[in-house]
Order: sequence, then structure tokens, then C-alpha cells
Amino acid sequence: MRLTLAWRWAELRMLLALAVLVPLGFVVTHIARAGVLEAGPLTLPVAYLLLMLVAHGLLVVSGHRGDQLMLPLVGTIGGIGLVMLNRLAPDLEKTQAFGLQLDVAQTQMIWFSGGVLAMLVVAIGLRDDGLLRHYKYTWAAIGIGLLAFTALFGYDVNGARLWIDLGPVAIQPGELIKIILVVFIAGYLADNRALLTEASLRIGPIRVPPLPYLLPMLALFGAVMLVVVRQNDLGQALLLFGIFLTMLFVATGRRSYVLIGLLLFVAGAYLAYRLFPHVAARVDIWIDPFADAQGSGFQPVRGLFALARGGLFGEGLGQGLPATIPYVHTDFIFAAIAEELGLVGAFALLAMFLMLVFRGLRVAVLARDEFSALLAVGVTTSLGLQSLIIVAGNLKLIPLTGITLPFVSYGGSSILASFLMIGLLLSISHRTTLAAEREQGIGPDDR
Amino acid sequence: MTGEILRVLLLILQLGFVALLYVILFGFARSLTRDLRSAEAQQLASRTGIGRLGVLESPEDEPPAGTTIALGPINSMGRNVNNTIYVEDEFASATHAMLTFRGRSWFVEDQGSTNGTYVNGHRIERPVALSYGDEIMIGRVRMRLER
Amino acid sequence: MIATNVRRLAVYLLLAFVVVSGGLGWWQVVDAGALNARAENPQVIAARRSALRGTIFDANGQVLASSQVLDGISRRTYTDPAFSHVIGYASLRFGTTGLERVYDDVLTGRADPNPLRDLINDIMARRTEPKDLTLTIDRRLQDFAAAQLGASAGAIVAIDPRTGEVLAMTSTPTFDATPISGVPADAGPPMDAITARDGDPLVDRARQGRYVPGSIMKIFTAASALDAGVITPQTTFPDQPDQESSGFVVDGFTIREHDLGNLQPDLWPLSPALQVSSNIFFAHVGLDLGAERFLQYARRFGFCETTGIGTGSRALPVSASYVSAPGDDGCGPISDDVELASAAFGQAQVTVTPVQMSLLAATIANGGVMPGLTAVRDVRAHATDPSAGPADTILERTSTGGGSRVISAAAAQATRSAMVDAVEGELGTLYAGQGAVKLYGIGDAATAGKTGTAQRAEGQAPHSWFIGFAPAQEGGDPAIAIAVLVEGGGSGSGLAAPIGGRVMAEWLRLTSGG
Repeated sequence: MRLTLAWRWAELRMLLALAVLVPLGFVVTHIARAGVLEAGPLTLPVAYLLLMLVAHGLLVVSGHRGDQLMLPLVGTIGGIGLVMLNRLAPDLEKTQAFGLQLDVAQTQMIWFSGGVLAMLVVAIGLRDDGLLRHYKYTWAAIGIGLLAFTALFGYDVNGARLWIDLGPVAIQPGELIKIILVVFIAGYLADNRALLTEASLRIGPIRVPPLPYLLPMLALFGAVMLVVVRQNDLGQALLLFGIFLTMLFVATGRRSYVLIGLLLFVAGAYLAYRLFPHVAARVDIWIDPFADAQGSGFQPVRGLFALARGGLFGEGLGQGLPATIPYVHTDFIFAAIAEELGLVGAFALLAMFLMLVFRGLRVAVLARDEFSALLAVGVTTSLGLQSLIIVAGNLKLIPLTGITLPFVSYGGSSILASFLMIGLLLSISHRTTLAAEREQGIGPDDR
Repeated sequence: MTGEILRVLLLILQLGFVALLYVILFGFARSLTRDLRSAEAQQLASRTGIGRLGVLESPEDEPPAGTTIALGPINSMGRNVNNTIYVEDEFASATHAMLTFRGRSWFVEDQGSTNGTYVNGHRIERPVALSYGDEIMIGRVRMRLER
Repeated sequence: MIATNVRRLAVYLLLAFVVVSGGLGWWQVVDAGALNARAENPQVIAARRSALRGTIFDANGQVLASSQVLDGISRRTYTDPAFSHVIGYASLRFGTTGLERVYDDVLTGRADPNPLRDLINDIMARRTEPKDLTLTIDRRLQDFAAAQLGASAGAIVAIDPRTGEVLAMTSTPTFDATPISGVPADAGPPMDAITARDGDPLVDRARQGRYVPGSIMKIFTAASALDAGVITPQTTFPDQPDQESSGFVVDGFTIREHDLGNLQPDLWPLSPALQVSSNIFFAHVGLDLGAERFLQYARRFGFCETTGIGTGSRALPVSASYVSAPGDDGCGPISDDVELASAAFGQAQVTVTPVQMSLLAATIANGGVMPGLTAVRDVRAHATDPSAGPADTILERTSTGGGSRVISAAAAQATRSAMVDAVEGELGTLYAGQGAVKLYGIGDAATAGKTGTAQRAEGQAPHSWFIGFAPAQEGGDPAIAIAVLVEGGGSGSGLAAPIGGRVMAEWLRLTSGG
């Protein structure tokens, strides 16, 4: 590896703020729980900080010129998540991971390490997008294979078949398939964008997309959707659909595609509501969770209570009752944060997600080629929509689904996939900066 | 009473946590807006164009008179073909002058040419800031900076 | 091109985040209060499970309900089943009722009666001490009243007409609230036993029971007509004596008098008409008053809407009393003159609660001003040893306000003297005479009152009613107003009137320095 140092002061500065935030969160939690004025164990926050600093150091040493706010943003969001999981840990069962008895925060820390490693490998290692772009059909095949494998040999958790057992750990291939699909769609749209934008059929006043050109993409997308819906993973289906429509819109600029897509979605949702009892049940719970507050509506009702208890300023970190919500560490971590940090704290978290989205879209705008731009859009939309869907589900704005809040919810596959996406964004951003500098003949800036 | 104190302390720490969250948030917001501005400037420079040179007079017709040249942020001008703006004129030097966009305005700087660089008819000694509409002369080639 | 689309996308995503933030604000701020108050909220449950609950004392500082925390579970003990309906129960399993529900946040210490202190507590400590309640109800009178009802189903409401303080309010059959307010796991069987018993012991007949009032409603009709100037105490109806025997034909329907026995009908003005409880006389009064004014006065007296004992969120709810079929504005329109004439003497679609009728008596006693009711005298700091009586620190004293004028003092005075005659007059003693406190050892006090015998469906014994107040002689200051209802008790004179007289006499005895 060529050693060209590129200082990343903005990144370092924002990361240093975490050195106060995360340990403070742990200390507050400990005091609230133990009722004595002492710091408590700080191994996890220190490990987390070291992880972030090591990632920063590796980016500097490798001369990475990618976006400098991405890592601190993700680090802050993940830090809040780690504080919250540590706060919830005593109320939750320990997990058996890597042959060790670990609580959720410790396990999550291991996943964070894996995620950051994956991010660095992609961010630093992926110096050229050919690997992604030119082998897109291979990637698609791998994705389909993974899906099929899960559908056949996976096991069910809570009525959805999402998991495959890999000996020491279990993973959710759905999270990886999301990335593969984004890569494939970006590659396909980049290659065929001109055709898709120019050619169109007109039926009356409505411009219909040139279906033959869309077919290969629709076929793959349809296959993935079919499997995902078959697996009862409605949140994932909604997310994939959203990503697909968004990328199509960005590539072609046609609102009509989005409109047709939305109409299809509404029709499909209605059909699903009529045909599948579990979908109907989900919707009924959404419309009035209080109708069966002790039964099917128990989880969302408990979530709403948590939100209400939080109020404007929260119950105080470590002093709420988030453990009264079933699956609080995965599905309802946002409600738990909103309970203890209040509207004020939860809003800050939302704002950070929004900034992450803006930052990702900025990478897309600056990107020099269409594939990179579309890839950045897809990855960013994925992270943004995923957080919107689960948060809106927590807030009863849409039916609740079982997807995770990126970087915050407990879960290895989600953490790995989310960090991989950040890795992709960093890699695109790095190549953009290098290209711009070559063009303008400016040396690395010393900001 | 110690319980009281502990409670107040805990409250302060809890508020501190949220406050710090906002400090970080505003830090991000500041970097975000600053980058947004520089990105705009960058784009202004590289994409939409920060200016053009209209060729008013060119005896050898290279660059051709009457045409306009889109400008990047940094333009070298001279008789050497490797210059950004190649001027085919026997009174021009190999690397004659640099035309650069810095911050918000254009500058022209003579690169030690034999016959000098003229702005609005005056020979320049140091880098000179230009306004749109100013005329630059290199050798016998007369050009006007346009928006 | 892509850049432009991405910018548009950024705007859409921004909007989505704004919408989500709005949703966040809705649940955390706008709707939070309603959610926090729901009984199934784990915060409410958790706080209640282990939290010491304040003590409830009677007017003289006797413990009625107290809690202790054993093994981390709060258990509540109630000393007197006569209070089971007004106090209710605080069960970890079945929720809270009665005053336990209305004052839940005060008793558990979640709220301070003072909003500013409440806010400071909220910010500083998040949990405040439980607080105690002192009732206006006197346990001696309450027990006496409950004993009077004995095994019959019924209700007694006694109030101080001057202040609106409830002196006794009891409903039978009652139940023991202690076993259902202990360890949640053990609360099931006792609750099952209570609900399996006949007579719906959990229902508070005083507040939630709605009964046909019969003749006690004539007090309302008389007072309203006097106030409206439709009648004077001297007004007579020339057709009335004949109609006593032949019947009063209204719109082709014949209204008949109840059995007057050996009594000879005469041209009766208000006082004798009330003494013999003439349906014909009051049918005439009602028709002269007219449906519109009848409903108007009913609303002024507090009929036609759900009311409460106490004010605002601290009001113990009282079911609405109706003078016509329930409809828009509480009472629907009175359909015709037959209904109006019947309603005027307490039949037709009139259904009332004992609380409402005690309030009617109290309003007459109080010179036409309807007092605001309360059953809680004050909120106090928690007494660490309840057996030593309530703490001295009073955090909030209940104010009932000055009451509201419903009818003129003159109309009230005329009604009052007719009511005294109804108990103590020559003809009245035959009917409501048993309600006189004189008969029960209070020699110097006159009693005002009226009995009611509410006719029900064929074959069912009528409800026995009595309303009244004492002392009611000229210049007397009524200290107690009462409503007595005995379900299926037969005639008002037989059962309800003597109970009313005894309870009022007992109160006058208790308060006359004894």
C-alpha cells in the first residue's frame, strides 16, 4: 500500500466529542441504576472510542480522501445506540455469542468492530468500482442464491424466515441482499439510463416506461420481492420497494415512474391486506392498537406509553421503563431513546440521521460517474428509508415492521450491512475527491 | 439528603448528556453548511463555468477570433501547446501568463514573458484582479473576460 | 441531471423527517397527558405496585383506608364497608374506582395539588410523597345510615345544604374492598364472590342508580312553578276536586289520582295538595308551567347531564338524571302533554339518582341556592402513623364555591313551608309523618320533606323514596338535607320516611354538642 498521509482534522475533531459523550452516557446509566456516585465499568466506551480512533487512523494512514463527516456521524449515532443497549442490558437476556456469555451491549460492540472492519475494507480496498459494476449479474446471482438458501434452509424467528445459522453466529442474509440489489440496480440503470430516459411509450397523456428495457431489473427485483414477502418480512419488502423507486426516479427524473410504482404498491398492499391474514392483523393493530392492548397490540401500545412517559425532556437516562416494551433492543430502541432522552434527545438523533442522509446525497451529487452517483443514492436511500420506516412504525405513523434502526438497534447483520454501506459511500467519495484534485491540479488540501 | 444531592447531580449529568448531543449536532451542522458552500463554489468553478474568454483579435487565428473559451479555475496561457489556452502568436512566450479564479474573483499574472501581459492596455507588473469585461492582451491576441 | 434529481430527493427525505418529527411531538407532548393517565400504562402500574398510598380519614380523623407495603407490594385495608362505594377500591388487579380513582395521583403522590410545586417536584425528584385525604363524611352517620338500610337494597345521601359537604353517602348491598386490594394474585376469588352475589354490590346506587322518583318530583315541579310565577301558594284549579275521582283527561288520556283512602277531595292549594300528594294538582301545575320551562328548570337544577361530587378532574362522577327520554342536550323533548303532566308528579320518563334528589332538597333548604357538592374536605401531608389521626399540614382545602342560585328565595321559602306541612301538617302526617325528626328525640326541630312511591311495572313493588331537611321551622337553619331510596320498598311513607327521619335526627343529635 502506498503510504500517503492525508490528515482528516474535521473527522478527528468530531470523533473526539465522542470521547465525552459515550463514557458520560455509561456513567449516567450506572449512577441511575446503582444509586451511588461512581463511574462504573468503562471498558465498553473505551473500546468503542479506540475502535473509532483506529478507523480514523487507518483512513489517515491510507491517504483516504473520502468524506470526513461520515464516520463521526455514524460513530455518534452508534454511540447513542451503545449507551442505550448498555442501559437495557441488565433487563435483557444474555446471549451466547462466540461461545461467551455476553450482554447485548458487549455483543453489539463485537458487531461494531466487525462492521467498522468491513467498512474500512471497502472504503480503502475498493479503489475501483469495476468489481461492482461489471460483475453486477454475478452479484445478482449471489443474491438470489442467498435468498433461496435462506428460504430453504433458514429458520424462523417470530413468524419470519430470515435467519441462517453459521455455527457460532446466525446472520440475516436479507441485509446483505439489500446491498447487492442496490449495486445491481445502480449498475443496470447506469448502463441503460439513456434508453430509459429517452425511449417511452405514450398511452394517452401518460408516459409509460419502456418496459422491455426495464425487464431484467424488474425480473430480479420481482424475484427478491417475492421471496421477501414469502418470508413475511414486510418491512424489508417496503424498504426494497422504496429504494427501487427512488433509484429509478433519480436515474430518469420521471415522476410518472414513481407514481405508477406507488399505485402498484397501494394495489399490492390492498391485495395483501385482503389475502394474507397476518398482513391484515398487522394493519388492524396499527389502526387501533388499544383495541387489544393486552394481546396483539401489546408491543405498540407499550411503545406509545414509553413515548408519552418521555415527554419533552425525557425520564432521564437510566430512569425510564423501556424494558416494559417487548423487543425494545431491536424494534423499539427509538421509543426507548425517546422515553429517556425525551423529544429533545430523540429529535437530535433524527437530525443526525437526516445529516447522514444529506451527506450521502452530497457524495452522490459530487460523484463523477453515473454508477457511483446512483450507488451512493441507493445506499443513502437505504439507510434513510430504513430509519424512517422503523421510526415511523414506532410512532404509529405506519404499521410496525420488524426492521432495525441502522447503527442503533441490536443486531449483527444490520450493523455489518450498515457499515458496509458507509464503506461504499466513503470509497465513492474518495475517488471523487481524487478525480477532482487531478483535474484541478490542486494538491491535498490542508484543511 | 445525600439522596437529594445524588438526584440533582444525576439530573445535571443527564441534561449534560443531551446538551452535549446538541453541541455535537451543531458541530455537524456547521461543517455541513460550510462544505455545502465550498461545494457550490467548486461546482460553480468546474461545472457551470466561472467565466469565459471572448477572443476579439487573433492574427494567426489560434485561438480563432470571435470564439469564446470556457475557463477552468486555473488557466495557463502561452505558445506552448500544453497550456490550457494555447496562443499561436510569435509575440507570445511559451508560458506567458496565468489566469486564475481565486475565491470570488479572477486574477491574471504574467509568467515572465518577453513582451509582457496587458490589461486594458496597461502592462502589468504584479498579479492583477480582473473584472468581467476587462481586456487581456498576450502578444497580439486580444481577449475579453466575460461571465 | 442526476444531481438535480438528487436535490429533489433530498427535499422529499427532509419532508419525511419533518413528518416523523411531527409524529414524535404528537405522542411525546400533545397526546402524552392522555396516554400517561391510562390505567394500563406500565408506569402507573409499577408506581402503584410498590408505592405507599395515602390514608383516607373520615371527617373526625378516623382511618377509612390505609396502605402498607409488604414484600414490595402495596396492600390496602378498608375499615368500613359502608364506605366501599364512595371511596371505591385501589386494586392492583382490577384498577381503581370511586375517590381512589379521582384522587389517584394525589394518593400515590404523583401529583401535588399545587401546580407549581407539582412542576418543581417533577423536575427535581420525579416522585413525591403520598398524600392523605380527609372526607367530609362522618363515619358515625354513615354507619348509622347503612344500618338503617340493613339488608334492603338502597341508598342514602345526606348533605349539609349550606356548604354542599356530603355528610353520609352509602349504598346497599355493599362489599368488602380489602380482599380485592391486596396481593394481585389473591384478588381474583374475592372479586368473583362479590360479582356472583345478588343485587350488584359493586354498583353505587347513590351515584349510578337511576330510579323513577314518584311524588318527590313534585317538589321540583312546585319550586319551578313558584319561581316562574305560574302558581302562588294560594293557586287552585277549579276542576281539580272533581277530577280527583273522575280522572283528568289530557289529550284523551285519563290521569288518575292515587288511592286517597277515606279522604274527601277538596279545592286544594299547594300546601294541602302536597300533603295529600295530589297527582291531579301537580299535573295542572306542570301543564301550566309548560314543557319548555319544565326542561329549562330541570337543567338549572342539574338534571339532564352527568354531574359530579367535587369539581373538575376531582369530581366523583354522578350519572345524569332525566326528566324525559334521554336525547340531545341530555334530556330529549317532552313528546306531549300526557308526558308533561305525568312527569310533573314524577312518573313518565323521569329517572333520577339519589344524589340528584338530595341536591333538590338541599337547594330548597338553602333558600334556592344550589350548593356545590364535595366529599373531600382537604388534602394533607401523609401521616406516618394513621392511627394517631391526620397530619396537621393541610396542602389543599376543597372549596365548593358559593353555589348557584336556581330559584328565588321567595319560591324556595314557599316550597319549604309546604314541605314542612307535608310532614307535620294535619293531612301530611298521614303520609310523610314518619319522617319527622320529632319522633326520634329531636323535639324542637321541624322537618320538611316529601315521600315518593315510584310505580314500576305490573307486579313489581314500588321504590320507596323520601327527601327532606331539618331543622325547617321558621328561622331554623337546615343543617342536613337527605334523600333516601329503598329499592322495591313499597310506599314512601312506610319505609323511606322513617329512615330519613332517623338519620336526620341522628345527625342533629351528633352535632348538638353530643
